[in-house]
Amino acid sequence: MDTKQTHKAHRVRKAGASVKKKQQKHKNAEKNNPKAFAMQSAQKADRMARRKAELDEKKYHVPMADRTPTVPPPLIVAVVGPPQSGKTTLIKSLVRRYTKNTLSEIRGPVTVVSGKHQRLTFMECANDISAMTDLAKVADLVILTIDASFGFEMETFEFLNLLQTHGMPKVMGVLTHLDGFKDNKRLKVVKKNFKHRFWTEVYDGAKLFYLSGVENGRYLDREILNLSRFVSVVKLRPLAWRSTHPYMMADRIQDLTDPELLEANPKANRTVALYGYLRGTHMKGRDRVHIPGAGDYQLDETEKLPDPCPIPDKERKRLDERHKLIYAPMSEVNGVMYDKDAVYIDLRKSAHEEKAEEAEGERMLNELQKVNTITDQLATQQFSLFSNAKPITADALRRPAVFDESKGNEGSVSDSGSASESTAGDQSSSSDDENSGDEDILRRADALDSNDSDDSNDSDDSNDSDDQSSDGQSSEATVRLAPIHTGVKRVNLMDLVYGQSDSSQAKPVEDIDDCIKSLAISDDLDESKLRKFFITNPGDSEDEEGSSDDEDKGDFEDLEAGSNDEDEQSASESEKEEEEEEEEENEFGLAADKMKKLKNKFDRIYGSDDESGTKKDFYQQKKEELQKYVDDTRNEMEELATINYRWAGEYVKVVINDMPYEFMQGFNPHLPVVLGGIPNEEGLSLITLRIKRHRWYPKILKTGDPLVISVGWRRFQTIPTYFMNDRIKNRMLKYTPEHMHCSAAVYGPYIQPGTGFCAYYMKRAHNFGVAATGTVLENSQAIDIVKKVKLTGFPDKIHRHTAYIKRMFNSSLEVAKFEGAAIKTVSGIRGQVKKAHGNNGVFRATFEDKIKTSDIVFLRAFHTIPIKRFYNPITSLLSVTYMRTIAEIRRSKNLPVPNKKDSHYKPIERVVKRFNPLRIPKSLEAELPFKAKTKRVLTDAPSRAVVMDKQDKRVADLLGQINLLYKDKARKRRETVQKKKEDYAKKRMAEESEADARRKKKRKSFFRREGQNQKGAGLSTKD
Amino acid sequence: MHSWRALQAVRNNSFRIFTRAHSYIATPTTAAFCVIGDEILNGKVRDQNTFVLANRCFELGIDLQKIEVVPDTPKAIIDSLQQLSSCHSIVITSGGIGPTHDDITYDAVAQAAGLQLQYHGPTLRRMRQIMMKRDVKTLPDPQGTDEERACARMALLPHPARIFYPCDQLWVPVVNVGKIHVFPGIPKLFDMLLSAYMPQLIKQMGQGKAFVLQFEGPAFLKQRLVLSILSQQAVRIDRIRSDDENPGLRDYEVSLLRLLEKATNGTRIVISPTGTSVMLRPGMITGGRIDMDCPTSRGIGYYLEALVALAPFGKEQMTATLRGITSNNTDLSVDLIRTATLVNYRNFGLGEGVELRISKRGSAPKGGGEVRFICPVVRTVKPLNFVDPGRIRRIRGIAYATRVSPQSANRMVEAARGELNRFIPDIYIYTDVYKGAEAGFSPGFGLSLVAETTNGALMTSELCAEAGEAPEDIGSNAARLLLSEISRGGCFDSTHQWLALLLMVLGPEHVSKTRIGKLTPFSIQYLRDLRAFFNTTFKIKPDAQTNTVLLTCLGTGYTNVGKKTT
Repeated sequence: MDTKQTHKAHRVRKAGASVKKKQQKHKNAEKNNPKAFAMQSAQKADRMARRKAELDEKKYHVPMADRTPTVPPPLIVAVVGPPQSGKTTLIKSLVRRYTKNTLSEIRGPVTVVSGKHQRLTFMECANDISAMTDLAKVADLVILTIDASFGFEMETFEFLNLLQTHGMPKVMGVLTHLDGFKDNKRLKVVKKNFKHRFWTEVYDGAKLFYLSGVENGRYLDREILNLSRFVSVVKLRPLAWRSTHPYMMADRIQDLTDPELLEANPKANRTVALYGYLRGTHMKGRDRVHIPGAGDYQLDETEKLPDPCPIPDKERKRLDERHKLIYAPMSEVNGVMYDKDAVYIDLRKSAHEEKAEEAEGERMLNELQKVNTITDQLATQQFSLFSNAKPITADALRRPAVFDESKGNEGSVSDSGSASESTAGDQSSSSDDENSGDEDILRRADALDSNDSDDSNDSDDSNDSDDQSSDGQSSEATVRLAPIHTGVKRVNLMDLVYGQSDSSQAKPVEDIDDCIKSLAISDDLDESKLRKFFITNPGDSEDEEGSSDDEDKGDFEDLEAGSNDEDEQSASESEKEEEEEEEEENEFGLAADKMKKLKNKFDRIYGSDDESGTKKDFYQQKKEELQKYVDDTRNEMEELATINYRWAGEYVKVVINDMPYEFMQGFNPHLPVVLGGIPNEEGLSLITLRIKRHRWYPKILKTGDPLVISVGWRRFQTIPTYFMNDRIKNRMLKYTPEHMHCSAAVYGPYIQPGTGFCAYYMKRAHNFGVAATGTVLENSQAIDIVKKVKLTGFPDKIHRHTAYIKRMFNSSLEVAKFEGAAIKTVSGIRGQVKKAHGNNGVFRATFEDKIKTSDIVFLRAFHTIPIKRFYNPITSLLSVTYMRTIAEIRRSKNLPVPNKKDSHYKPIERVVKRFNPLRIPKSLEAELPFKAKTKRVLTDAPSRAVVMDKQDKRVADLLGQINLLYKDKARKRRETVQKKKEDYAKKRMAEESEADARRKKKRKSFFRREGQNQKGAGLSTKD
Repeated sequence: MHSWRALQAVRNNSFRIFTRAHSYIATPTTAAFCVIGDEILNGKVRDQNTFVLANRCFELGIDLQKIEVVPDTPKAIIDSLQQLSSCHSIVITSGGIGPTHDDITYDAVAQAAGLQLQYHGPTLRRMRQIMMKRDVKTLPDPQGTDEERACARMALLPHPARIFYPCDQLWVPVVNVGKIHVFPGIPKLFDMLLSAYMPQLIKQMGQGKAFVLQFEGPAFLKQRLVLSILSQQAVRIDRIRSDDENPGLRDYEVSLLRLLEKATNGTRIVISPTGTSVMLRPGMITGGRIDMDCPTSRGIGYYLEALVALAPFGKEQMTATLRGITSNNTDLSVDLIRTATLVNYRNFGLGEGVELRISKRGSAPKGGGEVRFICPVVRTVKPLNFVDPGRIRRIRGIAYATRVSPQSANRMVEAARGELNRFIPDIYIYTDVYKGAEAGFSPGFGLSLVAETTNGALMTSELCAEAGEAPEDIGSNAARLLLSEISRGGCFDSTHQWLALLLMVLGPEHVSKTRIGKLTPFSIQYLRDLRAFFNTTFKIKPDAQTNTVLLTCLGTGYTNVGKKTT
């Protein structure tokens, strides 16, 4: 069957607006008409330049160290979408495309080798806000599946929001269920609409794929191939949070608890091993980590395991079939799992769990698994060599060997960490008599000192003084400690410092008593030896000093030497000598490195060519500086690995003791288990957030309603207090503003300021779950949030400026607290609280004017709100207990919302106050001076109607007619003048255009001539 | 913004109802103890459990805040339990779980939590087993005789509850309902069960760094306290001179604790009554204005060193005015701190705006000096890569004299120059002679020297005169001290190794590397303490050729979370 699709050929347009436009556009417009493109306005040019600078500046990001390891861990590809939108099918298709493996079921992360340099870990996102937040925090690439037959769903938008707040990774969209559209035209419209909606949500030009149908339970191979190509070229930007924190998404979880312990108590805390690729930064045993949904834990140990899905070691042209590996321990791909020292057959359930329905074969295997292996049996057995000797166990036999392996960097047997821990029976380490234990570092150090140098007397002295000063006078300055000499090969310094266990503190140094000063003068101040430490050393010759010394000297000379003439002279003299010597040597044609040295010197003094040529800007410099730190770290990695650092990119097993049994019992492979490092982020504090209600969340948020905040690795429930700063104080808000940012104070663990967060309510009440987003501003132990309080009182007794106010306070003690406070009446007369009057809360107050008995006096005060210290980490992987909002409690208990009558809004009815007119008795008025008397002033009489006689009327009529005639004449004159003007303007215009054309023609010919002349001239000069 | 001015403006604008200290305390775990029993109230029995519990709580760093004694009446017990559990995260009861009719604790607990009582099978079984072993006649039986029923009453527990049997040899359960933990009242049982139950309690303490690092002895007290605050890790130090005839904390240590409290917000310090143990739950470093009179048993340097480690990581710029002894032979003098310690800051990108002004000098024993330390805050520290110290380029110094002839300063300079001039001509030693009110209360003089290398490494030495010593001796000895310091090599001298170590650990997640001359015992302990607090181990590699030590570590990515963003 011929399925080849034929496309209609593209038809070039021959008419219409677009063609016209094309014709109009000149190819070399700028070249042909330079004047048109010349700068016309300086202001405009300036503006344009500034705009360009601004656009350029916007492209800059704060430089960030790119810590991506040389062999990066697999990219985490999160496949997210509403139920039934084709997530599983997509993963299956992609896995099939990469490994030719068909997964029957997808549980947990699936890692595949996708290319010569790239691996991918697919994780399907469960439809649950906890899983979505956790996955949003670790995903490198997100594939959003969208059911085209249904449309966008809220989950998709919620997830995008979670991504944005936790550092936006790359996002691709996949449109599925397109086979439902039979009408091609309709399909086209749908695709376009989806694309544009998707672009507004992510960014313009975001990639959206269309998967047209399902075949054999997979999407079409060609479409999947296209998708995989885009996945393989995806570029990642380092995200601030992830590049400063170690993290891991566990792809395998093993319960290591002693089965015997579980038999006794099935609810005992478990020892759990989590396996996964380490990402972000480095990790180490005994680090503290947070598992979102389970809480904070301390790692017991971290161990590097061989990579289960390695990138082919040799560079090949294309990926070999046998390198197309797949690793999905929870999905039972191959059923067999290799650990460092064991082979596991994956049975999905561990032995101690409920075995409700299992096949016979499975049961048999389970039973097999229960049997102790030989090594286990051996481990438990013990035997004695002699009748009264301590029995020897397998453990005791094995341990020293292990340590020999792990150390390996020093030749002789020396004290190790375990040796001092272990009991007296352990004899292997006591062979070295110097390392007799943890008692006396100092003594040992002194012994070393005497071995190496001649200051044994001095060190003995210090020992003596130590002994003496132990009787209480430790603060004496007599503690003259000789520093430990270290340049001795025989003792491993690491053991010396860290060899002891923590519990045994160094007792001999106890008497130092926080004094770090050493007042010991070493006796062997050999002048010749000492001279080597000074720049003025006359015996300085190039064979003794390395080239680095020379260079370094130079670095500082130009900066500081000017301060002292003497120094400069001597230095320059010595330099001259050096130069001369070197020059001489050079004439003999000596080594190339000498030449290089000289050249460096020259460059230092006069500046090298290439440096001045490419001067680096600030941004470039910062980036290089960061890169240098990263490179330094890379160089030291091997060294540091000996102290058990695990690096990003490695496949790591971490063991956690004391994991609640619920973690294993209710383990669901569909939920991601993330393990994030929390360096210095454990103390609890009050956090100030800048918060904004999400515009799609239908309600505003209320102070006191417990809110779940997802920030950093954590998700926790807390009670926010919203407030706003009015430049003077933080005013509490009962509700968040509708479309504005406000601040919120919550109680939670320290978090770096500037981290984004996302908030939602524990119980989903609305279509759109994300209630608010924002950033962390500050961590502190105290936030001063106030709310306004208005106290009202009534005048009891009024004197002139003094009044006694009652019913504001209840006792004189309360009044005493408010002495001096400003008060005010409703009519605006200001006053002050003076002093209590009697003991019933009445007080004397003064006002700027006499107040009325009907006035209400009020006092405006601010009351500090205590912030609720509630922090409840959401343990969604264990069992969730959470605080409910008041509304939820009311709903569950069927309680009505309290309804206060006083709080109702109702129209205010005010009685209009009528004031009687002021009446002055006649007798009083008579006595008043003239100025104060009421005056009766005669005003102008109103205009009266005029009755004209006949003569007057005729005159008036005549005047009217004359006026009319005059007006008419004037109008006509105006019109003719106007017409004449217009005619003249027309005439002028015609003349003008004629002249213009003439001038243009003239100019054109002139320029053509000129151009030709120039051309000729140019040619001639060239020749 | 909580600037002082803003608060002042609020005060001026209106009046506050409640004036309150601005130190909230963030302690996740507080405990209360409820002693139940008439016999305690009417004086028939002396309460011993309180002492035991208080002791255990202190050991674990649990903040025991309230102890109530209530009679055997249901209402009293329920009220007390409800009230206590509303304010505290752990409530422990003792007494009232016996077989008699007035033992009603389980009943009251059940009522307080809104639960039912139910016979607890495992407890009954345990009871029977252990009683049988001891040949007790009356075995518990809910359906048996009165005596048997009374016995079974002891297994009538609230349901659902978490039941623990901490001691194997005892059948007595510890019942945990929410925050309430029910213990028996008999002191012996109480003690046994409590000590066995403690691990469980620690788990109950919930999130945060609940555990407390423990140390012993008075040595290294300062660094441990400072590290505790920086790492937000509670610390407890025991056996502080407990065998001494004058036991407990010294006055300067108490002052240090006070200073730390001033420089932070939310720090809780508990000192045991004997003064031999201290517990510190760190708060946040705030900075701001600090004003303190330091006791004359130690120099100002003792306190400044703590501030030097803390101040850059505060909430706002620290301006500390300290009064006391400016230089002595035990502690770093303020001169050295100014000319070397604070200059060493710049290797870590911290130096900007740091200032130490010496307005008055005070010699031992009476002191009377005054310095002002100003330190702006930073968010992060730069990683250090300082391996090559270079060679000594110049030597600077300060010779000070208070209340003595100004000539003695010049004499010290002469003597020191005599020693050092052989090596380098670029020596400049300032003479700093104080008179009158600025010279403190005691006569004294001393010399501090700093040698700077081409690469900016600083080698220091200093010496103060003690009674009867001649200026010439001080001068030449200080110079020889400097030479011995120089002969050790390295990028940081022995007095500043700790600073380098600390700031390397506090750096970002990159490698920091440096070279030091010789590891002093102090630094060795510092390295151990850094591991205890920050879980950071240094790679220590001796360099046999130069007799120096290379130190490498990975920073912890410490960020100053207190610094505000806009």
